[in-house]
Amino acid sequence: MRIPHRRRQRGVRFNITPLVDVVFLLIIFFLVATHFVRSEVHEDVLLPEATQNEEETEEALHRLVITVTADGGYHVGAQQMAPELVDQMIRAGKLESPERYEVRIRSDRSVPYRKVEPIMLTCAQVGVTELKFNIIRP
Amino acid sequence: MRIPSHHHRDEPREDLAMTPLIDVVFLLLIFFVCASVGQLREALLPTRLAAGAVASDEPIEQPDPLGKVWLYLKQNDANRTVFEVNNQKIVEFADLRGLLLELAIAAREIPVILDIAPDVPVGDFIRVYDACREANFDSVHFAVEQKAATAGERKNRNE
Repeated sequence: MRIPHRRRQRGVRFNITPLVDVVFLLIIFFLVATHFVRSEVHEDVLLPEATQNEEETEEALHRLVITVTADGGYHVGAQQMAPELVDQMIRAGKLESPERYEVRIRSDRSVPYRKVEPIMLTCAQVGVTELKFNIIRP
Repeated sequence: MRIPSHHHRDEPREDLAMTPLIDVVFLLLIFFVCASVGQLREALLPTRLAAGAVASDEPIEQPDPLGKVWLYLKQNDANRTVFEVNNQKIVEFADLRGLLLELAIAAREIPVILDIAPDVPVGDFIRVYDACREANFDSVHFAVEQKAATAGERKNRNE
């Protein structure tokens, strides 16, 4: 009598193709979501050029970023603000966080100085010592 | 009767498909390369304002040539920013930068006061301030036009 010879399959079959598909979908989702979040925060301004920039060493506890667009408008958090409101926000922020409070100015390089001067003056008056300008390196 | 033995053949594993993984990796690589092209990385130019350093000061017509470097920025008729350092007119930025470097080598402790006209573009103001930082002056002040007030900024190089 002949005993049939069976091939015994060793190991466990593991199909990773669905796993790859799921990972791919997740990555695409996070990339698209990050893109939309970033496009809301940053207005399109042509920053001035400078070479003496400093690396960020310590994270400020409270930071206010003021964008001054080419048409002279003030924007905070993707919302246009009146100059008086920007002034109030600087003062309020300093009262809320007396220590490690930072003001950043993202101004278009064509904006006249009279648009930026009030912000600098307010910062000096309320005692904001950390005032930084966003620039790009040439 | 002879019972045949089971052959342990080394069969090639067909369950591990690397091709989709390689496709995904290449796709991601191409995406990040295309996304990063054209993006400008922003940096920070700091100005450390001295707390409570807004003081009234009489605007002086003739600054003391020994005590301060009074640097005016204004727009000429051609809408171009021109500079004046202690009554010395300078048109080109490269000349101003050279002068500031020479002054800083001679006397770094002399305060520099930037008096900027309202119509001067921020780009030019930043360039001049950047030149002052490059020259390594100890203190750079900003003159503001509001009830003859002066906002001061001091850099402590001993830190």
